[in-house]
Amino acid sequence: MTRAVDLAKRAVITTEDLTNIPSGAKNLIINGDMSIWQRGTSFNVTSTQYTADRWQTQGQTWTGTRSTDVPDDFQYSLDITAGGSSYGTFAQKIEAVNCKHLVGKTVTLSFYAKAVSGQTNCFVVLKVPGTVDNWSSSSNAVNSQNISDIGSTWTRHSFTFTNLPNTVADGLLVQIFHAPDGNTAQRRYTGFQLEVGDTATPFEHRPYDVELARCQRYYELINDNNYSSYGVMAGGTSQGFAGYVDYKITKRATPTITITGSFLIQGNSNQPGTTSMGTNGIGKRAVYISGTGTGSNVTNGFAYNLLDVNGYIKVDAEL
Amino acid sequence: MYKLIRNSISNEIDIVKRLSDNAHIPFDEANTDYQEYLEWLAEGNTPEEAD
Repeated sequence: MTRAVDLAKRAVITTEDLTNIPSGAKNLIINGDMSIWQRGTSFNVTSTQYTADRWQTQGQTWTGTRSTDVPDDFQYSLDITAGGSSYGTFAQKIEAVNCKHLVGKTVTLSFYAKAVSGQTNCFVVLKVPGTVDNWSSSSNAVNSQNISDIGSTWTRHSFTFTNLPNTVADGLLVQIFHAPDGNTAQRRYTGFQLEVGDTATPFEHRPYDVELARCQRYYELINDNNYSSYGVMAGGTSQGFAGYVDYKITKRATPTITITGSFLIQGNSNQPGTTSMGTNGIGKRAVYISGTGTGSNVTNGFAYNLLDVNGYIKVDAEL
Repeated sequence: MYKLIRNSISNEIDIVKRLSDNAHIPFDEANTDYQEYLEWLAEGNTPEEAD
């Protein structure tokens, strides 16, 4: 509101003024400020896996942690330490539905980086998938750029890519890496922004809840601390039970479900443990869970709360 | 390695379990894990039958 009042007082409104009004949508990168870490905050990476939300390693060996060493206005950065022969590669895949408007356009990627030790070069590559949102079989590089020295203090860098091809409508991957020289390299990154246009505008800080919700379209960890309810189950025959567990956010695709740890069900003055928990139907908004209660304490037709002891459910619809 | 899972309500096989981490993968071609499963099948592999 303050900015709106400020603009209203001016005689002339510039294009830059309008561009800089926070819309919540100009940045195509999700979790560019490294604020969301549902999978943990420290990783020993040996293969392709997700670390900070939406940021995926690319088959290299490195360690990654959440760092509080940041440029002004940021809370966290991604700290990467890569061994002598590792490229320390990481990337974000942008789904096709958010790329349709990029065909033929110019885009600018910007981010803050800092070399703590070792190699200081940095390569940025844009890639498109073999088919829509399918990165498992093949991908094609659209363009790449590099800088020789990201600097030993926090510096904002930008890379402009022109005339994106028609295939960008199938999705886009933004990949960051350095060329190894045999020595360990440690660097930190935050403030990633990909926007339409040939200029890096100020980083768009979205509210934490908005950023979390955007991440949860792709991955959601249901883990509400010990003994909180995941949903209502119906008691069945032979100690069986079943019911729906809702996600907070509708998923990009029907997700993969992984149930880990111990749960119990509570109802009818009993709280038996559970065994053989699994899925009996997976949707984009909820998963139908079934299992068996221990002992003889599940009554057919009674309602039970599904509670975790130390368990959690991973809902994964990542690219 | 994978094992097919039969839906006890519909009696159809529409989920495959990845045995390395017990992840339940739905038959959705937009699901990345299912895409990998299809590639695994294309290499000539065969999942365990459903119970």
